[in-house]
Amino acid sequence: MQGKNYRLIKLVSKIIIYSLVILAVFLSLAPIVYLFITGFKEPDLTFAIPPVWKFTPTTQNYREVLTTTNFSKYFMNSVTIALITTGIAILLGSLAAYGFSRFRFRGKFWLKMSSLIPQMLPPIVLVVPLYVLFNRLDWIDTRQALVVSYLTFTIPLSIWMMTGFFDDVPIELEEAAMIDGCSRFGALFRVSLPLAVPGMAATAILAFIYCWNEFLYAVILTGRDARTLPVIITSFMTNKSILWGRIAASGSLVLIPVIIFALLAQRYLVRGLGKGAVKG
Amino acid sequence: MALTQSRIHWTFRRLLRKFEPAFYISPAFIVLIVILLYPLGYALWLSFHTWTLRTFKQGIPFSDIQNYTQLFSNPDFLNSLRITLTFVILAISIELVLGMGLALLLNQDIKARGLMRALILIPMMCTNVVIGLMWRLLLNYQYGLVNYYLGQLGILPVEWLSSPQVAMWSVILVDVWNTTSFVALMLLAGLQSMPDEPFEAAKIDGASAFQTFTYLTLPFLKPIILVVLLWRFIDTFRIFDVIYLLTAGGPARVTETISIYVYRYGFQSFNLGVAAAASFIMMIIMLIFALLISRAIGKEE
Amino acid sequence: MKFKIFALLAVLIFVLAACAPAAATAAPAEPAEEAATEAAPAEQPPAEAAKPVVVAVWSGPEHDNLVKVAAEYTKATGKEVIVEEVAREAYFDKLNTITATCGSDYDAFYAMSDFVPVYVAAEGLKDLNTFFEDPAVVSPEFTLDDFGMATSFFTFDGKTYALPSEGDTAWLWYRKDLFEKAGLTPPETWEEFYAAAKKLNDPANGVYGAVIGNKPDEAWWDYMYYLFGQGGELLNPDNTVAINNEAGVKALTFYANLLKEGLVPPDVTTFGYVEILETLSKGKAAMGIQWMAAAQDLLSCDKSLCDADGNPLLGYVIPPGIKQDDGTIKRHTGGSQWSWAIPACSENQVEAYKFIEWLTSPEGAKLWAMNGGIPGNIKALSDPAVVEKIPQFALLAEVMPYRSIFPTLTVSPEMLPIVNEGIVAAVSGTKTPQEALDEMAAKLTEILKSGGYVK
Repeated sequence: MQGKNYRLIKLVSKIIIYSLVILAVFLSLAPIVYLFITGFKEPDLTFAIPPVWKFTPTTQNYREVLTTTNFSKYFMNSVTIALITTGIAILLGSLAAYGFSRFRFRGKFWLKMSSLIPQMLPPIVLVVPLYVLFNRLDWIDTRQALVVSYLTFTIPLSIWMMTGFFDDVPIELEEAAMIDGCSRFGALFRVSLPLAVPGMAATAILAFIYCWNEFLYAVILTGRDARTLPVIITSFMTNKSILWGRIAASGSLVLIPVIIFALLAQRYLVRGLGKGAVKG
Repeated sequence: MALTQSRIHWTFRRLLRKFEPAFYISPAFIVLIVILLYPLGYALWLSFHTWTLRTFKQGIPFSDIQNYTQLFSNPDFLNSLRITLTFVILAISIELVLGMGLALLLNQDIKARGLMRALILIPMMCTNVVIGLMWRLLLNYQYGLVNYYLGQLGILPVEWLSSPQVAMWSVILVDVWNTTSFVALMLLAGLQSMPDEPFEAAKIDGASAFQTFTYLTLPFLKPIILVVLLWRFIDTFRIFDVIYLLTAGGPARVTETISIYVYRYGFQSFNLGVAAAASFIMMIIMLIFALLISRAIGKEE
Repeated sequence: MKFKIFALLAVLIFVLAACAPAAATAAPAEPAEEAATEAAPAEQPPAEAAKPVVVAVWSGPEHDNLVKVAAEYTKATGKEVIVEEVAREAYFDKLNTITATCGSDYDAFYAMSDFVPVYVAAEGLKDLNTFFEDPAVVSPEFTLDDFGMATSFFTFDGKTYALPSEGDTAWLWYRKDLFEKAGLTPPETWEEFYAAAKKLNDPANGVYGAVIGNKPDEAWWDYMYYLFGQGGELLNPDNTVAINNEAGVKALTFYANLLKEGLVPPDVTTFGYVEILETLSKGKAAMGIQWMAAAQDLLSCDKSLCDADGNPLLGYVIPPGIKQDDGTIKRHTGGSQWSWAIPACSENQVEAYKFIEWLTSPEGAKLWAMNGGIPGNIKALSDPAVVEKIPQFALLAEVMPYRSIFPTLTVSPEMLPIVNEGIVAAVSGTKTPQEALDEMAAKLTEILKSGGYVK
């Protein structure tokens, strides 16, 4: 008797859960799908009311984006800058986060707070002095200028995110490892780091996205050599028109690598990691 | 002889232990300091001087705290502060609730879970420019799909971006759409790393889902929730691109957040002294908030 | 698990390593290049060793046009010109940054008349007289007379800092078919404008009487025609504020009423050039004041309305004026003026000057016009081939004598947001026109005082 009720409740709740998930996916994706579809429409159809869903798709917008701009070069710029910045930020940030998580020392609170400062200032105010700085180094219109600029907000992001994740890794595991003869660094590397990987993955996704989509520093500090993709998209907004077709096409193109990166990194958000360690 | 040696050895080890945290923390901070020393210093210096594009060649006089007091006595600046705080509070509250719900949903055992998670993350990954323009198109009074489909449902078209009453909500809507997945992602990671035993114990003890959530899940997630809250506050407070593209701070300045104000009145006319002062005021406000949150996190330890 | 982490790290390090040599080679290359140009004599570099001239222009038709025209220059002289496109959203920010920090990114750029005075004050522009007076550089046919009164916008203390390019204005566009059907002629006075808007206003059938644009950063550019046309002014000749005088209040009240009475679409607070163009080309407004540059789109049958015979349904006239006692119409209209300027810290100034001189010469300006732009050179404007291609230039020449642009003062960039916000407040109804204008006047007076223009 109880079994039947239980199964019924389970079924209903499963239906509710699935419906909610599908609703969430729909709401999240509908505008993106709209963007994607608009990329394949003739530009004049963008404003058509009632909206035109049956139309002959055209690759005109994509072709225009890929040929009129040096798209592949800017794409590579964005990729390199985002990957390098994310790599450095996760490396340094996780290290520092471990330090904040495991140790007590004077000034710890204020030190941690101070790492937020670059994050708290609107980029506008830092862009002029950064320009001056890079001008003196002859780094205007170079990729390293952007990497350095982006580190100012990805390192604090990593520190703050990873501290929380390291806090969740029980310190007993490390102590056990150290009793077994590991050095602290070894314990970090062999025990805590693997457990913090979901956090690192999440933080890496965020850092990558920040770098990939950043606009202000990119447009002020770069020119034709180190330009990144967000700058291209804005170049389709002119004083005389908004080239919706090209914006949709380039917007869609810019989205794809981030999705790939997120798909790759999100696999590490696996539940099982936390489970086995305590028992083992 | 041996005693002295071992004493030196142990003092050395004790020193090492004292500075051990430095090994982990310094690389990140050294990099930050090297990069930011000049820009931050220069910006701070600017905020205490009168520096405009028009006057700097004639001289950059020291202006004490005038830039700051000028801002605080400016009703437009204070107005934009008020607007920003309203926006931040409303947007973050909605995002936290929805994000928590989403994280709980995605934590369940459902088919194609990984794919669903990745799909829901997509709004967060779009470039701000694309988000702003796309929603501007969707919310367009005459041509937007939203009004069109509302019309199909028999609802009158809404002046999403052109009505001073609705514009704020439209902007909140877009921000929620954009960043709820960030909140969900962080909370999900937290849910994933929760240990199983307390929950299994609770189940055995016959606790309801609501009780489990309130007394087990929430407390465990508290540190992460606070970090997410902090981060969202800082990001939302500074929001610029999306709102600028949607409404440019209009109509009639109802969505003129502080970043837009600083941009329009400080940067477009290149009054860097005032722009710097405004930025530091923003920073102090965010710092105060961060302090409050951190104290709350700290209490956990 | 560990392997995956290692792999990820390895990939990152590999990428880092791959890019490090690129960074390393880039850095030493630049100072070497700098040393070379320092060593070469300043005035007479041999033609073969000429560095390419880097010209900045914002995205859009001007950019596409410049690319084509610059290619002609390269064909004719063998000298390379690199056109660098800067996104419109950030164009002025970037130029401001470069001017403030003596950046050498560009050798020439497309400059708006509003910003030239403040750049001059910031010592950011090269004084072109040094080239005018150098027989080795200036071309023998060059004369500033070719630009008419536009030169005065860019000349300060007897020195010219930019060569005028596009000077444009806006026409009153109207739906010929609707006017014909209602037996109306295009309005010559503002009373006629209002009457026509009221008569042709038919929102139920998707046509509004008129369309205006009240976007936060573009409000002035649409409103100025209504202000000037009704006898208002922004500033008096002595630089005191005039916009809140009787004529100014009347003009803004007229303008705000258009929205209040539903004669324009309800969402005009989000309208700028692009939205007005959209409205006009789809025939959703019977009238609208819109820049000349829209002519291409508004008169083409693919983009706008045409009748069965392929004749465009939209026509244009000069915006209305004020009827005088003797029956003539006194007109005063607005516009904007662009130019080409050379940053003071450019490292290729002579070649840059030669290029912009060519660009604004009768020959270069004609090419610019044939490719869709507006020539700043009067000779090119009246060139028969040009007039044939773009008939509205004849009207432009007629309008020039009574066209005003935004005041060219060093405080202009600071004034513009104040002016915009006042107009927006009045139109959206948060303030009455009188209130909005008085507040605007007070703030503008403060700014003018700080700039030394008024006591």
